[in-house]
Amino acid sequence: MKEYKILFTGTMGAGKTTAIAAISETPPVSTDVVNTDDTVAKAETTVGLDYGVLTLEDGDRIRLFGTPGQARFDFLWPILAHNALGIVILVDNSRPDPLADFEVYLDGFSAELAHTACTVGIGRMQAHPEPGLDRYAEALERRGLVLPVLSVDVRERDDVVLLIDMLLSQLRTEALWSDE
Amino acid sequence: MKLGVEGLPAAEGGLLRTILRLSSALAGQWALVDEGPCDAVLYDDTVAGAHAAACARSTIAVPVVRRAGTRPQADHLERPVRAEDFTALLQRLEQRTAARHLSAPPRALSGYVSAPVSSREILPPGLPEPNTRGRLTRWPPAGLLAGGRGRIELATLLSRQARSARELAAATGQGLQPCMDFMAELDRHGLVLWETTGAPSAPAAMMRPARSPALSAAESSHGLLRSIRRRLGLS
Repeated sequence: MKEYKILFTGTMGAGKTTAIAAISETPPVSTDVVNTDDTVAKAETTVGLDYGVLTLEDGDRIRLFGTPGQARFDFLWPILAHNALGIVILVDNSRPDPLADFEVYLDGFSAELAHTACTVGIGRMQAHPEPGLDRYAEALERRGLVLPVLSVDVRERDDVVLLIDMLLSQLRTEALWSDE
Repeated sequence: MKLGVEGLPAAEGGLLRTILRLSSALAGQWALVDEGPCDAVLYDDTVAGAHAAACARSTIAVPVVRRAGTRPQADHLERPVRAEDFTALLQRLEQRTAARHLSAPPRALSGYVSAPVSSREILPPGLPEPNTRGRLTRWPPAGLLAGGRGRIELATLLSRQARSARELAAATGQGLQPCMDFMAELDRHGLVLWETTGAPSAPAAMMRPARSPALSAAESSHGLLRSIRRRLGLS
C-alpha cells in the first residue's frame, strides 16, 4: 500500500479544516485547542495538524494534511510539503490584508512552488469581493509564478474537489508529456 | 501610441488628457483617442459592454476600478486616478507592447511541418496555427474562465508548459475550436507567450512542469491520477 499526501495551508480561519472535512472519507482528526487570539472569531484553532484520508480502489491512500495557520509554525511547512503531490493555499478574503497573508505563504513555500502542483482558493469573496482574483494573479506574476486562482467556498464539496482537480491537471501535464 | 477609453465619464477622460499633456515622463508619446483601433484601451469595468468594446479596439484592455486601499497593480487603473499611477501604467504598457512585437511568432515555424488546417477550423485573425505552442504568463481574469470547469482546465494545463491548441484538445477532450478560441482570447489579453523554434519561453525559468517524487513513472502517474479522479467522482 502506498501513501501520498496533499497539503492544505493558509491563515487561521481560511478553511483548511473545513476543506479537508469536505472530501475526507473519515472525519478529519483535528488537534484543536481553544483560540486565544481574539482578533480571529473562532472558538478553536489548529495548533498541530489536521488530517483526513481518501482510500483509492487499490488500497493506496491519499493523506490530506492541514498545516497550522499561525506563522510561528512556518518551520513545519517545508517538512509537510516534502514529497507532497500538491499544495492547496487557502486565503480568507475577509481579513484586513489578504494579499499580505498570501505573500507569507508564497514566501514559506517558495522552494516548492516552482515544481510542485499548487492551487489557490480565495474564500469569502461573495461578501468581500476585494481584492479580486486578478490581484492574486498579479502577485504570482511578480514572482514568475502562474497558478490556478479560484474563488471557493470550502463548505461546498464541489469547490474543494475543483481545487484538487486542478492540482491533478498540473500533475497530469507532466505525466502526459513526460516522454518528450 | 494611441490610448482609447470606453465607458469612462467625460470628466475622467478630460483628466487623463490633461495628465498626458503635462507629464514629462511620457514626453508626448501617447494620444487619447475616442474611436478606432488603439495600442491599449482603458474601460470602466462597471459599465455594461465597455469591456467588449475595449477588446474590439485593442489587444490590451485595462479596467478602471475602484481603489481598494492598496497600491496599484500592473493591469488596473484605480479611481480616483492619480497622475503617477496613470503614468506608471502607460510606461508598463509601452514595455508590454514592445515585448509582444519582439516575441510575435512567425506564421509557420521553420523546420516544423504543421498539420493542414481543415475548413472547419477557424483561425482567429493574426494568430498562429493550432500547432503553435504557447504558455500563460499570468493566471487569466475570472471573466475569461467563466462557463464551467473546461476553461479552468485549459488554463491550468497552459500554466506549467507551453502547449498548442491541438494538444490541449487531445488532452482534455474539448474540441479544437474551443481550445483555439480560448488561446485567442488569452492572447488578446496579452497573457500568452508563444514559442518560436528553439526558444524556450521566458517564464520557464520559474514555472516548471509540476512533479512529485511520489510519481516516479509516467505509467503509474496516469493510473494514480485516474484513480484519484474516480475516487473524487470526477470520472
